[in-house]
Amino acid sequence: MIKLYLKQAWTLIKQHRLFTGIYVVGTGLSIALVMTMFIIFYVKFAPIYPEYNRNRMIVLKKMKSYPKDDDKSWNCSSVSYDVVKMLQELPHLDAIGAASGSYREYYVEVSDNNEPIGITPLYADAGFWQVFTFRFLYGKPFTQADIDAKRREVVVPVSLARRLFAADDVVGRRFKMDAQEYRVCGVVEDVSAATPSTVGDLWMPITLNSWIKSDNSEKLVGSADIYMTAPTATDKEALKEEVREVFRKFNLAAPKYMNDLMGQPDDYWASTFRVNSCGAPDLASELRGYLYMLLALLFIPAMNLSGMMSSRMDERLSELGVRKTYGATNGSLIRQVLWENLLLTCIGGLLGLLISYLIVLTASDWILTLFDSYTDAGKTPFLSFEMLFNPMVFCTAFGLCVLLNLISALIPAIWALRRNIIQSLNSKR
Amino acid sequence: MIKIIRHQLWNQRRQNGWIFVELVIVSFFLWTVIDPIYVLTSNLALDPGYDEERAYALYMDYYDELHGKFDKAQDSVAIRQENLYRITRLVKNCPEVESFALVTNASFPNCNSWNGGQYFNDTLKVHSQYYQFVQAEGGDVFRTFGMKDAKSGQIMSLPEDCAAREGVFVSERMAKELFGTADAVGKRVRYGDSTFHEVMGVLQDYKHRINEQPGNLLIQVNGKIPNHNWIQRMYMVTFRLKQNVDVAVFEKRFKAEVVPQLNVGNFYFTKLGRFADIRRQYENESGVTNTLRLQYSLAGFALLCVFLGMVGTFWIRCNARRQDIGLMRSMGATRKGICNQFLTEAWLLVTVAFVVSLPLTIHRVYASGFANPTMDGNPDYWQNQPYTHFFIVSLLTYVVLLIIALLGTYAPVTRAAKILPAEALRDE
Repeated sequence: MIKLYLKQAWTLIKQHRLFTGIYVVGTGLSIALVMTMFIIFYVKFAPIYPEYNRNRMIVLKKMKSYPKDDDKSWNCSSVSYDVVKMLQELPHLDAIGAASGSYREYYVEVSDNNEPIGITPLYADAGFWQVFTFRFLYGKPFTQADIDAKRREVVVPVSLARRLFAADDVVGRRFKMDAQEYRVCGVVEDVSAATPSTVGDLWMPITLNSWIKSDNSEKLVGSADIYMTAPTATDKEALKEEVREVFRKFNLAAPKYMNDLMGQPDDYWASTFRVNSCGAPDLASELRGYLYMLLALLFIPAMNLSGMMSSRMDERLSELGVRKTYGATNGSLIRQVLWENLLLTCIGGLLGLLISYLIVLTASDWILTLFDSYTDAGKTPFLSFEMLFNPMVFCTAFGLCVLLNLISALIPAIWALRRNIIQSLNSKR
Repeated sequence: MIKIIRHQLWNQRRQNGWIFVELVIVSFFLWTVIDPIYVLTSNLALDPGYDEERAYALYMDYYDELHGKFDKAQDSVAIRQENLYRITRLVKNCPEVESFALVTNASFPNCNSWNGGQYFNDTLKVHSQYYQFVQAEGGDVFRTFGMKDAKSGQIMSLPEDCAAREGVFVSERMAKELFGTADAVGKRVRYGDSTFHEVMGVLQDYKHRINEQPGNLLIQVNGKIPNHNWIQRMYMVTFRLKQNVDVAVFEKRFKAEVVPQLNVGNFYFTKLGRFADIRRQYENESGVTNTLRLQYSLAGFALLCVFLGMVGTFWIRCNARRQDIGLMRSMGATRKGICNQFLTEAWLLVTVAFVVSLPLTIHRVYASGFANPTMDGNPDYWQNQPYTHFFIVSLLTYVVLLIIALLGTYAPVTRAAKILPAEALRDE
């Protein structure tokens, strides 16, 4: 039966080219924009290289400290690196790592150019390499001993290895940066700026960051971001509670200062909204904004499609009347309309998905940060195969087709079938 | 004719209902999309009060103690000051350079930093941003930035003894706020150290950041670089090239010949930044560019939907009314008359839908306010006047919506109006 419906739909498509054209373009437009939005958020939230553990990750990015007798004198910043030591023994902790961005560029002097190559490193500790899942092409990460000894050992992405040494396997090679000698201990696959927690021009021991200092003042503000993974995604909540408990005890024991987590630890996806150092993000308002946009992208074209479907139903009233006369139920007729329409919607969906790829690829240098209030113009993200072509993207596109089909065809079909057989048969006279 | 059209629309309300609801939704949505575009574009269009053509910032860095080239002997404050002057002289001596200014890194347009303070006229207090300029080696901040006198409209002239007299310059807006008049030359302002400073000139309003509205600005003119420990990270040279200099040739020569000389003491050259590039970078990083991209995309999407909706609806309607059209033609109606009737139908549909959407829009504005509001904005600008702002955005929304809707209607209607009466009536 479904085959018959689809055959009939195909014939109708060929007969009504303009209707089909407008319908497919309308559907494609909606799906292209929703899918573009989906891909942007998929890259932000979903497990992608080298952040495959995002699903079971929790994050501490900001800290607010204030004297116990004056809660108006805040000191807000990133988190102290000392927090890593405080949290290392938690029962539900799988791994904990810290990273710290660089406040300045390093420079590698190049002999044939007066303008040196600017390098913005990401400082990392040993746990960073366990929390995140880098693909090492050669060598291995620097060790805790390297970190403790502040050795100038670095991990470089393969593109930098090629730029500096014109080779891929550069483990053991040395180069001068800021007139200091550094040794390459590992080479990893390139990391896109689309994964801001892990991207760096290269990675070096966190202790080489002069801003990372141990502080005995009870204030846990500092310069690090702390990433933790639980053994499974379901253990995240338990791990969060354990972290909060550690801070609660620490604050109770501290005589002078309070350290406010401001609702943290965050799930990885929620941490991407945490940009204000002194307060929690208004997630509900952020999500409302996106929902408003999403509804507009879906419902505005759906109104178009419904209008067109409604007119089409009017044209087919007599046909529906004949089918009813021979015993077809309203349910079977609605199913027929929905199946026929799904073919059109799927053609539009396919077109939309292709357009969304086109949009994302042609605007790859800015589209992924389209919804960010602050972007680092110096970091241009690149898109990888897994970001665009994965089952999640395809399933969502198909799901959208079904949803759009239901929104646009169901109400016109039900309205058309409310008329009785005589009215329907009489409509073409 | 309006009466006939009104009846026509009402009789076909079921077919028109969908496009009507879509138009209501789009009117509301488009208003919310055009609002930030209007505010941002209006702000961007305001005269910035500076000229970015051929202007540069020279980015230098300083070897710290961890750096392999750090020279302890060159690290005293006095040597750092002298080295900064030396770098300034190197720029000054470039034959292509028209003017230059030694300023702090928070004192040039679209830079990342911002300094502000409180300024007093007797007991009247005004908050303002301030720029710090060192009047040394013959530098001139006004010629370098292209800042103009509010009165004459010419580049502000810098008295040679300005630094010696500890004079200041203020923007027109600040002069009005502080003294109640733009004619503030000779008046005295008090700040920081509680000493009085003479206002030596009133500048045309100035935007520190391209997407913002002009704010209060005060320019401090100092005679020398202060004895701070962090001057190496605080001061930098800005300069402007002469009118006929080829920018690309200059940059190439500068990097080849001047840059090696710029590595003075612990200072080293990192980047030559064009003012235009610094502005673009700021627009990118602060989200201005992204906001405009997003809003334009959403507006384009909504309008395309309306276009398709109108094409679809009127195509179907014209087909359904072939007989009507045939009758009208046989009774002597011209093609133009038929077209006009359908276009009037579209106009009425859009107008009624737009009017219906207005209460929703007003409620939204009442609940959430306008997009990108400027705190303490100049009430002279239309984007800061609530009623004018609302009227302009509404008008823009209505006009854009109407144009797109009429375009969508035009194609199917002209096609239908071409039908010959006999052909149209054959089915009757």
